Amino acid sequence: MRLRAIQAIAARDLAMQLRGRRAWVMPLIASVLLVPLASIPLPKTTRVDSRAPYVQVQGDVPQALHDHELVRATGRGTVLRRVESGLVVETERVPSRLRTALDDTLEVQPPPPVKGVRRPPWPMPGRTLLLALIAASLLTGAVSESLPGERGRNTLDALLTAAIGRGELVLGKWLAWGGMGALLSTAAGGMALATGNATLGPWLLALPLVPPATVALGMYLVRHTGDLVGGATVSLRVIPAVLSTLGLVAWGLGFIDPLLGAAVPLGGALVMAGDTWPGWAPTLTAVASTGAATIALLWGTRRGLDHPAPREDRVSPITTTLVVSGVAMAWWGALLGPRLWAPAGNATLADALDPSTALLAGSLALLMIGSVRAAGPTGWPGVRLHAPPARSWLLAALAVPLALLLGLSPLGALPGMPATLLPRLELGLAATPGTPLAGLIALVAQELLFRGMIPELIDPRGRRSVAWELVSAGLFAAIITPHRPLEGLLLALALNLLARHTGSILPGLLARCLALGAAWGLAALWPALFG
Amino acid sequence: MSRWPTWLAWLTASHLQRLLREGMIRRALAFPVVLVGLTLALTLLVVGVLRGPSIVATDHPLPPAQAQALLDEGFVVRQLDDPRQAIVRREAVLALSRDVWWTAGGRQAIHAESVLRRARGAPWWPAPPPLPDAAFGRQQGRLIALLILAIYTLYGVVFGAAMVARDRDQGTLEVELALPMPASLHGLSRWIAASAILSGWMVLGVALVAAWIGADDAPALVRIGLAAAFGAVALGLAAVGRAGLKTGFAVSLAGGLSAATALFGLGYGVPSVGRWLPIASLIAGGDGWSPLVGAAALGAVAVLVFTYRTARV
Repeated sequence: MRLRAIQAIAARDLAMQLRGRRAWVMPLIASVLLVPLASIPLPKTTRVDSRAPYVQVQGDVPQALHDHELVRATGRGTVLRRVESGLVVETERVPSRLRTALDDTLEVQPPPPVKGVRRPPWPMPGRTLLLALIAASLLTGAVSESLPGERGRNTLDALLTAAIGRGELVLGKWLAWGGMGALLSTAAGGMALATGNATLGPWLLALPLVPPATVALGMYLVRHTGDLVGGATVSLRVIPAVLSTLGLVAWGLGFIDPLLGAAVPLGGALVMAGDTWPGWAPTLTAVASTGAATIALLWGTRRGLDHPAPREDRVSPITTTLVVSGVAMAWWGALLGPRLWAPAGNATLADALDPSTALLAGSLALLMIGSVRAAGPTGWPGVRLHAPPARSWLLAALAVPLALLLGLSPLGALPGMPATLLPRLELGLAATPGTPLAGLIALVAQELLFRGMIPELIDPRGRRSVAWELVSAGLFAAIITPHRPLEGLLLALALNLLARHTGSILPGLLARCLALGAAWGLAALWPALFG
Repeated sequence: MSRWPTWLAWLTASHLQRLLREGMIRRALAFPVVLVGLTLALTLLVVGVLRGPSIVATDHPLPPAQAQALLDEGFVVRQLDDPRQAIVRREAVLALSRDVWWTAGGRQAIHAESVLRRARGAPWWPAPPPLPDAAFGRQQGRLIALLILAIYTLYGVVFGAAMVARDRDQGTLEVELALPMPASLHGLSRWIAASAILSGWMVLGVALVAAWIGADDAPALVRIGLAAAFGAVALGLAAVGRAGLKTGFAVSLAGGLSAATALFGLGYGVPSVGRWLPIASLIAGGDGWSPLVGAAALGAVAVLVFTYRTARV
């Protein structure tokens, strides 16, 4: 690794990017954004003194309160509501004067007085975090143009065949833009110090580290990209998302221990740049973790120059895991997610939300995943929608009772399943009448995915062994029927067998539709026939 | 018998596949829906599950009736030497000693105090204001859904213009125009394909929000969204002219986006007119039927403009 070669690459990159009008446009934009942010004092929030001589109340104001000097019934303010056993004060905070007045007039044996406790404020990042973020984001364009631009102009190969090592090339480009980012952020930090908007502290060490680490991340993201548009879209979309996610994770972990938060690569340095945690230990941890991440990213970029971009039409285990997890999250998120309002404290809203809309949303999400996957480079070879031979319909008829049996739930739900989730999971099998459209879409989506896409994903070589069939059926049971795994597994195995034997998913789909119709019919006729 | 419906179907399917084949477009399409869904899910997970039960700290054993009442309402009673510190450390919502109660405020603190006062048989007790009900949820859900629809509407302008510019640069537009079929079919198929893709994601976005929060008049919202998608793609298609990605695409795109923004503005400024028009009805509201008709008309004009301005070799 030669320093002169690295310097030469850095100087070349800077000269190419900052030639002509760009030589003054970038510094101008940096000044316009960073100078005011660093130097203009923020208006201080002042607490409004609400020490009015009385508290305004409305509603069922007791007569005794009317005469109290601390309370005035004005038809505005805190709501009082009389119920059978007493008086309810509807408020987010009971004003101390109202509390005194109520205890004075109504209580026989007042409870101990209630005193407010002021908690220390949450450790919030200061404005210097924004300086780091803006200095880093100013370089997004340059980073996205750095390596992809070389590829687009066909100069990358020339550089790599010249007497310049891959490491020197990557380091040179990183030095150009990472150095500029560090310089910009340090200057802005200095300005904040000089204008009295920040105080000297360990954050000054973390601040100039954020832009170089972001540049390393950006270069890693575009290491395979061959055109400017692709590079720009990748870095514009991914860098802000990664930065904000890592920053939030670091900030959240900081509540457990600042050192833990600071250990998050990039996120720790970002939060520390905002002078969030006191002391040198978090700063040094952030510097170490972010420095290590930067080195790893640069190493990855160097390696990426030698390897072509992975082909999108190859199905890797990671892709399979991602798609299957996406299917599970989309289904459970839509169907069961609305129930989260209950543990979050609003059970009324959770109960009011329509489960059939959730079924529709989940089914549409599965359909969209399936269609997008089908139109992608790999296509959807596992889905066969052609009309199967006539004998297939006979086999489909045999599958109807099994599907119907599942709908009638002879074994019942798995013990320990939350009772509030069961109706929604049952709905996922479309076994409940009253939601015909959503139910039918759910069946179509489930069959397309679990009989078409997922078996093809997990078994791309088409071995169709018993183990693979079990895995495929197990995924159906785990995602769609986690409350009745055995029945789900049996049904999925039968439908997989049917799809494989007939070469089409249509017979299985028809069997489930017939079973669904029969279940609805039974549900409608049962009370009439048997009371 | 005319063969143009078959040609149109094949061309549309081909454009659909080409759009969805690009990973970048697939990710961009999924982004708004995934972002909204994940944000909602993570917020509720943190608030509802990871937050854990609320603690009432006390330095003395509570009378059994009061302790039981707190337990019944989901509170955990914890006996500590210095309960006030538990409030400072955000570990407890209410701290009790024999001669004073401490609180830092909040719904749970009010709730705990209410439970304790009622258990003591007090004549008054505080109660937090009622939580947002289903009607409020539907109102907020409609706003969130409209934001998602607005993002896809802007996508529509970009799709309408960019798919033509891309094909011109790649040379596929010239090959298409050499095919023995009416030139208008190329514009029509592009309009249908891009709008159809956006429509699917729009419907999913509205359905997800309606499932999670509720949404006032979701079917009308879907119609308004579909009208906006078809209208926006039409604007992009009409604005692209003879631009290509290499020969300067920014002016055409800016023209289409400005037209879309003008319609947004019309919906905001003159809602009585905006509710009849595609895109403007996203802001102005309405039942969505007339904007659908307007979008079809806009599409027809865009196809004509494309045919006479763009579809020339």
